[in-house]
Amino acid sequence: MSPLRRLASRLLRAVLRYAPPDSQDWAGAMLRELDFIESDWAAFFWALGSTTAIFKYSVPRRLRAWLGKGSGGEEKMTMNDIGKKAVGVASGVAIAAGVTLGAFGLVWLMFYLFPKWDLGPVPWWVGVVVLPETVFVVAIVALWRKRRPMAVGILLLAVTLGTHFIVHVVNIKGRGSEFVAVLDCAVAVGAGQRASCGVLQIGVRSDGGLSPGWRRQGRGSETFRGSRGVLGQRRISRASELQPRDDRRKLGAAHSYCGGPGCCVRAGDQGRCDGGLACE
Amino acid sequence: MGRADEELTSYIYMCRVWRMKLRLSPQTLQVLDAFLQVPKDWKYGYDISRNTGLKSGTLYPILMRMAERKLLETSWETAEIGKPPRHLYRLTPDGMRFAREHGLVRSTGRVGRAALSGARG
Repeated sequence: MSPLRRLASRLLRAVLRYAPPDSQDWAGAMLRELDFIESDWAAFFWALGSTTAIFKYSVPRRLRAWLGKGSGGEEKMTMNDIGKKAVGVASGVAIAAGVTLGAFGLVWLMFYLFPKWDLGPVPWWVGVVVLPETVFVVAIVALWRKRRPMAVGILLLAVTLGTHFIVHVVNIKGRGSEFVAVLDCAVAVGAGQRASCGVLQIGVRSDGGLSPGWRRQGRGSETFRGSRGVLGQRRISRASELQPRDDRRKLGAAHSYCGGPGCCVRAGDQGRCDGGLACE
Repeated sequence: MGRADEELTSYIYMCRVWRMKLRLSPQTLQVLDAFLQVPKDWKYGYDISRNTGLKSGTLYPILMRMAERKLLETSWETAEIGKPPRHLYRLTPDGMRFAREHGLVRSTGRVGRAALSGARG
């Protein structure tokens, strides 16, 4: 048996092993046919096609069974039902997104209205992440039995938000991708954050501290002060002019991150408003 | 059976077909075509694939849908000793009727190529 045919056979055997019970007959049928295909390449493509076919057949059924109520729901589900469930999931996502945006907007508004407001021991992300996530968990538990598609939609957004937050925290701690920070900055400026300032706060750390260190130096430029004095100077830039990599090179910094609302860096400084760039 | 009964049966059948929602794609028609060449015979999956030119990734979802809607019956070949059995397929009476309703069967037993080309075009 050639390696290609062996590969095809192994692939179909694996499909047969892991296929759901209602697809096992079909997977077995496809595997048996493999012995009657002359060409090795044809056998290989047969196996690939068969794997696709099993996926096409079983994944929507599993999904429908999962979304449907009880085991009988799978067979009796019509396209209309699927449409209703899809609308349910979409509305769950929309409601959860609304709650998240509402929470974000509320925190943002507070900082906008009260720039000197000190949240004290409560970090900014409690309002933006923890509270919505708590609401989501409660809603998912409450809706799971009666309105499962909607609960699934909320769950999807909750997982997305949670993942984003975790990646963000990892990034702040210097182990994650700089991309996330830049993306956050772009979102923040895109949302009109300190549009009047025209300043995007990118704090570039060099000393491992969480204080951003950037201070306004005259009009149009700013300096970065670390524990060892002034470490760098740069022009105040808009989102389109972001060059965190250049900054990092210049300062030998560990990583960059984005400031929160109100020209005050929120990440890691527990909501202190005096450590960031002064607003105009 | 009276004419009214026949009409009722036909109506019920059409309702069932409508509920079945079997999409009559050109590929589905090709598969029906392959079955209708010798309607009573059992066929192997690979043979259908060769006759129609359809790849397994296209052919099997069609066969699965047809079997699910009771248009196709399946069976395992009685295997000789030491030889693995193969899966066999054949149209059910409902499947034959479905094909007939869609103008696929001609009096000669050959498939309505017009239907096939119509579906393609």
